[in-house]
Amino acid sequence: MLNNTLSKKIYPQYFIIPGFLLYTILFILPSVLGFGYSLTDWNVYTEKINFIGLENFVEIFTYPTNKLLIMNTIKYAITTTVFKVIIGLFLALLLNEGLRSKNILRTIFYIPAILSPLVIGLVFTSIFNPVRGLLSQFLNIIGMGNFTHEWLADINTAMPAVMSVEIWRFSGYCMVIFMAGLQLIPRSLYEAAEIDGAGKIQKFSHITLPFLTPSITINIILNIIWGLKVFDIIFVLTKGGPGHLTEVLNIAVFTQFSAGRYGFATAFGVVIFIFTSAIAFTILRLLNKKKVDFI
Amino acid sequence: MKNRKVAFISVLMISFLILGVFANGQQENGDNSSDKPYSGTTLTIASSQNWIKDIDREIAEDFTAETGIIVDYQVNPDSQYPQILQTKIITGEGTDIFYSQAGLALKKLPLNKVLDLSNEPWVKRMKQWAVNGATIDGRMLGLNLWSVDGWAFVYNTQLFDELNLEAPNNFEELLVVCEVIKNHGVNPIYEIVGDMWHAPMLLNQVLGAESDKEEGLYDKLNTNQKKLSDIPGMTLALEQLKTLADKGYLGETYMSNTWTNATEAMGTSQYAMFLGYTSWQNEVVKNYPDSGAEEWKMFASPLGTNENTEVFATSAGGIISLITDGPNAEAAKLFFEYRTRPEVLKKFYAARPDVNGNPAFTGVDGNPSQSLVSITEQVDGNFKLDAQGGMLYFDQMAYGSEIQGFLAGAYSAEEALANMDKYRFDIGKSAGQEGFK
Repeated sequence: MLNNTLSKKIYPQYFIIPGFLLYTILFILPSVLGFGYSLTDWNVYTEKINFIGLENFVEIFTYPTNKLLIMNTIKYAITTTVFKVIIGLFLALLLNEGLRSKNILRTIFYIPAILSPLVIGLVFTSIFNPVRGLLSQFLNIIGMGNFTHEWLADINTAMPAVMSVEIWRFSGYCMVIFMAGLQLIPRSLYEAAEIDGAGKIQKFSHITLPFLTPSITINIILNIIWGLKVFDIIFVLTKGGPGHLTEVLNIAVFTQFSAGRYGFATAFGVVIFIFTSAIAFTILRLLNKKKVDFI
Repeated sequence: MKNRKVAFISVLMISFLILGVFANGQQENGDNSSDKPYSGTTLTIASSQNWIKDIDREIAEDFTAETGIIVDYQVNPDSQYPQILQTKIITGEGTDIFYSQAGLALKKLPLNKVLDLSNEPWVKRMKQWAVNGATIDGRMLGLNLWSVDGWAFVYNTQLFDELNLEAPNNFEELLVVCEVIKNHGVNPIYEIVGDMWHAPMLLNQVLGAESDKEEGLYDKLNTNQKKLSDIPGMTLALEQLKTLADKGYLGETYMSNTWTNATEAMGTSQYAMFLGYTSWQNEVVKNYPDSGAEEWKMFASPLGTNENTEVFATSAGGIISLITDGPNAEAAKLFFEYRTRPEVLKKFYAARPDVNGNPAFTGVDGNPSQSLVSITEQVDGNFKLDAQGGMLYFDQMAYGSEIQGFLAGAYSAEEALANMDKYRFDIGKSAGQEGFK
């Protein structure tokens, strides 16, 4: 009997091997090699690759434009995460109620998350057109034509415009995660709270929020990671302009790779990896402490 | 027994996966008869989307009919083509033939993977400027079917006549012309800062004019003895461009305008002037035949100086096609040989008014546009090599980003030029170029 149990446990392990091998060859190995290349001057102009130590990283953290990129990336990740989580939570709470059209609305709010970022970027480039775009035309119709801008080319509106697209795109995704979390909260707790005379705000702060901590954690971590790694939306909308004001680390990877400075581009990639890991682990540790377990 | 079956299937799946990863995707040749030795081969050609026209595909079909070699054009968006090209060549996934800017722009490519075509029979019929533009370190690398060309302001001559205006010879005159046109209710200049690659074309003229004043300027720039920010004309050009923008002479949407709307902007007389190449007016004629664009003329950009314009900066030869050193190199050479036959060249240039102003091959009559004729008259034929042709590490997108930032008010002209200099320095240092340490 023990042998039968053991053979049943060994059986699934065979199927891990192909996936593990593929993951190692196609992901782990290139990542480790990437760390190595980030310490070199690997470029398109010369065949010889020289070890240069931390020179690439020194340039990343000391040159003013590069420091701006780092700040842009962090600002983008944090701002979009905050808004996505808040809007996602609001939508989840709204659609968790007994609305008749809630199923259709859930679908509508979730659809942007599955659209191609290229398509979204092209559509919003059109929407943000200062003359023919929907936004400017809408402002003209409601008598606020003075507020029209070159939304994607004005130094004051370019980053907010790009962030707004990201927020629109993934709020629905956050909503879905929150809705899943809301479904797991026992109704009996709300009933008990009502009996005890708790109001809506008290129920939200003492029941809903604590039980939603895992969902909040997942949403924050996922969105922070996506925010730190963003490339496609920004590239399509502004290519990092005007004047590097919407340029983020992954755009810099692309720019430096295009310039033929592969070692330097890889160093940017390593910086992204370090930032993403550090921030994600920190948030995970902080939020895990606040997790409430179900009885 | 069941475990053995599972193990066997797993090994089989892994084997197929590994075979799929390492499989060679090369097309097998079909008919190997001596008169069609490469029949069945597919020749892949990479290009920027606007460089391939219908006539290129028509000629490719004729070539296929004669040789059995299939030609597959793989076009890419203009703004991303250089990056896609570089990546593909470096990773060994380059196409058999690819298009590139001629001149020093070639140095950004891994040229050790490109064939030396110096001994091809058609090279003798290529004009010297075309050979020079395709030659790097003594190796003639590309087939040039383009025309020597440059970027200047094409203007609506009908509107100018109506307003009693003449083509400006200096910046002050340009301001006066713009003011008159603006007061008439027409936007003076269509500029496309949003398409980052366009605004740097102004710098071509600036450096071309500066090189006329200072001998060896390009050599100094290419050995880091001089920087862009050391050249007063560069700062002046950016500030003059800002002046045009601030006075409303670029219209309200210059930061968002696109290249694709340029023909409409000029063809419908919404704008009076546009920085284009010498045959660009033919694009307007094609789309707006009633616009009168065939009569339009050109004047050299006066930005970068307060004096009269005396030179026209032209390219090192436009666009050339190169052959990757790969399994289909011989088939690619056959394609080049076909394209350079006199009758094929005549057919090509007849259908390409944008490149037949000064064809790259002897034995083909050119048909210069009014733009080329007028600008040649303006500068008395004083053509100089432009920045893209003469200066190493001229990157339109990178420089366009800096110009965009400057015009948006993110930083000063000096800072924009300093960023361009740093970009050049970083690449020069990586390339081990003399002086860049």
